[in-house]
Amino acid sequence: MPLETPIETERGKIEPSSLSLFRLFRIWFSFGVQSFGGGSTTLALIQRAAIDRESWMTVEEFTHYWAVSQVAPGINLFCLTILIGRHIAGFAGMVVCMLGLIIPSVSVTILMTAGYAYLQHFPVLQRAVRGIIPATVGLGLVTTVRMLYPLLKRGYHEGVRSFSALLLLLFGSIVIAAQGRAVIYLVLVSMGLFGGLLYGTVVVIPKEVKGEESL
Amino acid sequence: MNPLVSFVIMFQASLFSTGGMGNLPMIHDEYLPRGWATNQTFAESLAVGQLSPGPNGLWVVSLGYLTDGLRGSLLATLAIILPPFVILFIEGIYQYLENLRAMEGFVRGIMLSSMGIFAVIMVRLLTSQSVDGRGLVIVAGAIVLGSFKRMPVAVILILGAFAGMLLYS
Repeated sequence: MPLETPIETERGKIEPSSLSLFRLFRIWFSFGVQSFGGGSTTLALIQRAAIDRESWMTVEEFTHYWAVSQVAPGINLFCLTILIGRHIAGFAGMVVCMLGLIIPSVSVTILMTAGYAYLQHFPVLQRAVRGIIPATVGLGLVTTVRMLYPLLKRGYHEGVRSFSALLLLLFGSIVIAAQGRAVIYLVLVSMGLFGGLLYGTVVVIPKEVKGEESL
Repeated sequence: MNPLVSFVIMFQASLFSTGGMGNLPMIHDEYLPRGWATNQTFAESLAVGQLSPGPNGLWVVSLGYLTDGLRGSLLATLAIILPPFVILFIEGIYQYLENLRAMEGFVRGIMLSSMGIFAVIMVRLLTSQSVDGRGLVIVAGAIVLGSFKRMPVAVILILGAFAGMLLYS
């Protein structure tokens, strides 16, 4: 099915006939197939295609989409895919890009889990899992620190008040969660409200720092 | 286990969190007391989620399979596909929200607490297998290797598997 409206890019217009929904599906399917190694691989693949190879959008548009994706609910890459799909071909583009990305990766995930569930009683595999679990935990901790770092760094540049507010919110949550009796939803919402209260009253973010956006 | 309740839990957790693993604390909080999964199940799902292609957030699909078979994994897929569509709404008001100080504080509060809680749960997952010195050695090794940005996650997990086979033989 050909697209109805041409797409404006910095390299001129892409003629609708050259970009069918089927081709779009194939491109996103290939992202889904190739993206072994977690989210950062997938992001790199999408970025390269969207900006360089297919010229769907400018670097600024991509950066904006990625920034919004990080504060939206759910998997950031899915949010990004929805925005890019809509940018390329409206509602149909959204659905086609999502399906293309999801079908291969979800099927492989299900197959791998099924394989694991089938083989898990073999002693060799049980020993392997005893090694994989602590490795996953180590990686999870690294990921947490890596996600915290940009925000803490930004707070540090925003001044003592902002940085203290961030540390208070972080360690407050850790202490409450470590008790083991807290309801997670309540912790999240109350920390959000507490953060809103802090930044709405005593903590001021300087204008020049706030303008910085990084990908 | 009740597939509908399980779907609602996963859907809600994904709707009220951001990132592929932000939903982990809430799902963990609901699944464990019901006896639908153990800490071990969660750790296994996370490992499969990181080894398989696509976003790490697909760990939920793996959890769905381990707790409720194919039906569970398909429901989990649906539960993590729907919440991201809220972005269509957020994108429209983002410019406005970005300049609200209290909103920035709200987002930061939620981000920080979800990461703090996530770290606590990661440590708790270790207790699932009565952690010993060998486990801690592997945790430390993964942290060191994981600090190199170019080191693929799959390599670290596979090294962990080999370490497990050697250390626990």
